Amino acid sequence: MNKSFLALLLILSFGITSNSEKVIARQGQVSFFSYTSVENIKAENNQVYSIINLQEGTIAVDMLMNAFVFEKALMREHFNESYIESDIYPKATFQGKIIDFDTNAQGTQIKMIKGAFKMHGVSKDIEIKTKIENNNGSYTLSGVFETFVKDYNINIPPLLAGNIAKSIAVNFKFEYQPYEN
Amino acid sequence: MQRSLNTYQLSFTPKQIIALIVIFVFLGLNSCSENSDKIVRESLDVEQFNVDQIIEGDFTFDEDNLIENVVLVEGVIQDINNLNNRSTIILKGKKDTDRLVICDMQKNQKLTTNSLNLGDEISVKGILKGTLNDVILLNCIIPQPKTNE
Repeated sequence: MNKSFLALLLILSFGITSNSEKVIARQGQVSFFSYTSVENIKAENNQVYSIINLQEGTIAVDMLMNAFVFEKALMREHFNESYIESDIYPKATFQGKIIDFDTNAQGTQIKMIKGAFKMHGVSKDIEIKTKIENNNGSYTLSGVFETFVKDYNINIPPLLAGNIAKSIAVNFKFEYQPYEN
Repeated sequence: MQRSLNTYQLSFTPKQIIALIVIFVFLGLNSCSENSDKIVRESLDVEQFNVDQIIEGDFTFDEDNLIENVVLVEGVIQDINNLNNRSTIILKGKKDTDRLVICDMQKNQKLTTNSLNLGDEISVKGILKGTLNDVILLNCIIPQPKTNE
């Protein structure tokens, strides 16, 4: 009886430990900006999903491309139908590792995240300088990086080439909560 | 003076008048939209789900599928928040799962959203965007109960 109870306690404590090692963001924000002399294009996605495994320092991000909101319907239409082809490639993903991540350090730390960003069917290794804020176990990750349209096989018709920047600025902000299943 | 006014009135050809009407209709439609997505209207008849049904749905962009269409989802409020300055309601189902429905609310739903409480059972109508771990609905509204008056 005592042995069974001990075994049960061990199993339960293992379960609690493994869940507490993960933090989750269901409403991460990713926005991008394209600046050209013809027009500026901005879009925002506020339902980006991300999980960090604190013990391993790994991070995964998942976003729906058709959930980006634009200022104009035509911009959204071109983005989804002509450039990103979100019916064929509905998601963009990132899987990476936070280098030298100190999960116990309170306050702000600046770290590099290395990993593979997959969009429009093309996977590319990237490094992102990221601000990590730890407020008693509530983590917030934010930063900005540049990405090039040509790296992801996105074809812009010559007629619209002047409207879309070759380099796109991507901003992100994720507020994580303890993962509870 | 009278002559010049008459001249001005006659200066619009039927083609120009049609063009003006098209412009006004276009501007009118644009001013109605909150963002790049279509506006979800209360009167629209749509397919209905509860949270457990929709999180198990296999949604794609196929013609007969529901991505980018308006759906109605019934569930229990797990969370209401204003993260990223967006009013969001998160619905849970009856099954024991970490998968939820995230409803990004239209701006005109602020008063209705403020009157809700955690644990309330509600229906939400919004544009189905797809599924990550959770199901994502944008431009959501809370349909008001119909009265016979």
